[in-house]
Amino acid sequence: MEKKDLTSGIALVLTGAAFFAGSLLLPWKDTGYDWFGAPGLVPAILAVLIALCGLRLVIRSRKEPDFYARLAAGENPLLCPEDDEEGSIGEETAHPAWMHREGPRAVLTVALCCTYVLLLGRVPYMAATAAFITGFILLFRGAGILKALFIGGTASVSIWFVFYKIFAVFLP
Amino acid sequence: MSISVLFSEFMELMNPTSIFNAFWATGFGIIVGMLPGLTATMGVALLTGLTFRFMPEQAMVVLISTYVGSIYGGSRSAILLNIPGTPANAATCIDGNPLARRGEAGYAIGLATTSSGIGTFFGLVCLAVFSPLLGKIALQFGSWEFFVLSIFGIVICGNLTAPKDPLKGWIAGIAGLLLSQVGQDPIQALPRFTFGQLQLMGGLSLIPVLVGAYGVGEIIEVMQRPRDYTVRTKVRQVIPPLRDLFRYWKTIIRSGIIGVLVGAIPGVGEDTASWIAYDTAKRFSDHPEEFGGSHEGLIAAETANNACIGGAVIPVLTLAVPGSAPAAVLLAAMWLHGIRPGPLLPIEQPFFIGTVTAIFLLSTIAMTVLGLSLVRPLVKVLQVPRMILMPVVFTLCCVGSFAVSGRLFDVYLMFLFGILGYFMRRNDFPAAPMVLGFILGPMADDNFRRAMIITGGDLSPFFTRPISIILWLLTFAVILGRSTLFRKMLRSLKK
Repeated sequence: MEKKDLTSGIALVLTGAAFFAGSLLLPWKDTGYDWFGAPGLVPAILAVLIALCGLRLVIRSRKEPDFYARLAAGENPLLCPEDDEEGSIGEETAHPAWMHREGPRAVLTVALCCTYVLLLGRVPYMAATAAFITGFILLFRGAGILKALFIGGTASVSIWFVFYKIFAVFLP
Repeated sequence: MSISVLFSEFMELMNPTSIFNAFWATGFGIIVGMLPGLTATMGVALLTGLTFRFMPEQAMVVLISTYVGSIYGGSRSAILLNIPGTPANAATCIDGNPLARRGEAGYAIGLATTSSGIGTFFGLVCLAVFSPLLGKIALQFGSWEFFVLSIFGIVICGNLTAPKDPLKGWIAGIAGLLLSQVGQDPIQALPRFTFGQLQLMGGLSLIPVLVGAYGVGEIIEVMQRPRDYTVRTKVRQVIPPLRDLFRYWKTIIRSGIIGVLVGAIPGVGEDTASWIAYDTAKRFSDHPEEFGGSHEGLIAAETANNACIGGAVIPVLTLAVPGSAPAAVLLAAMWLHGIRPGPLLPIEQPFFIGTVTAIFLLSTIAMTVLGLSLVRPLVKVLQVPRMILMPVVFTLCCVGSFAVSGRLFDVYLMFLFGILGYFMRRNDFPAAPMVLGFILGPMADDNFRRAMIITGGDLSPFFTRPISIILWLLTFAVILGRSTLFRKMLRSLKK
């Protein structure tokens, strides 16, 4: 957690500095009001605040190990489903090793969603949606090819019908 | 508000379209709430885009019903899986799941349903009674008070949504305020942080930001877990005997009051309400040793989180300040449909508070009916694997974000905020203060500069006007209360 906070703190200081610089570049004099009516005033104050908070995170992560020890001791096990005793959580032992690790699963999810987002507007909506849902199910081993194709096709047609035809919502 | 106004508004809603919309939206809300990883905020945000073309009243029926349904729906997974469907149901796990393991799953679901129904009803009564009163006080608010109110909201929301580390809650709130500064400024219409992009001139759209931070962030988090959940509990008797509820009438009233009060505090929300009500119920209980499998604890948590909904809508209608994250989306939806909540609402739309109260009543009925009648079919929803459900949810997030403005840019924005929301979760930054900050940002900026222009740069009215003084005192008390240095000083003074 200390390392995460250090990284977050540095990112916040940099973000604050960037926004502060951006605020200074906005007009401060020729706005019809004095400095207190300038459009950069509130962003500048907020940028300083966020940079200070980031700095506090950095200092805490380097100087206050007690804080993190207390934080770890006070965690609520109820909210961690992995700790369930009676096994109400299904095992997925038949899957390859990478599927049991959080990192690759998150990366795959982001990659699939990103591909879908980029396909929208370039490929017809129903085709893109059917391909995305089918691909997602197949890559995460949710079902076999035929079932995944069926779910993907049905879902994409249903979404198109319900939202475009019934709700009159524009689809990407 | 008189009973006759409420009755006439309710009777106006008694048409097939409203009833149909209330029932399907409540059912949708229950399903969203039930599924671990999908929250009430996400459900309401998703439907905000999708109901963009509805008439305002019908859109409100859909969104409020979804809100009520999803806060209630989370109790199902809390009871059956020991995993809260939404953060609002975390306290329900403590008693609900042990009851289910003792073979009382159906009974626990029945208790949760009736308690949630009573809680929502309690909330709507308070909404009808207190909104006009708070509205009168809100008319006294000037730019100074509105600015201080937005700061107060961020500080208290950050404090309560990140109780272990409030600094991160405050950072999230300030980040939300800062992100809301992108686009044309509200006074001189000068572009800020737009980098010459036409798409950014109108600022970052609220719905894509909300859907991204809550929806996409949750999808990534749900999918990254290596293991899935399965229901192994049998559900039998569902409708609880009324005498069981009457036995705990004091707990119900107390939890209802706590729910409404916590709901009325800007940005805090249902999860905090249910924890406080649960803790209070345990303190006042004749049998505290039974908690961890007690009917009373379950009733307290479920009454409070649903009563909180009515409470959270009170500041939305009177001050345009959301009491919880889903209420923030509701506020955005009202703006989208041309409704302007705030002190002038009773003047511009005198019957709107009555309409909202009547919608609450309709959705309470829908929730109770669906909750008690569709127990077994709804359990089946929990058995749908997440690798099938999540891609469908993601496609809906894209449709919801696109629908409002018809721009692909909003879909990209949603995706980027999804990644930001995911990293925020991984680093323990709560999303609720960011959302609140994003909503309150324009209000804070506009009112701060307007106040400064009126007084010629004099800051003193911010600290001398009576309402401002009260809000500042509360804000500083919250910050000082969490300061380690201040606590050490207090301890040394006591010694």
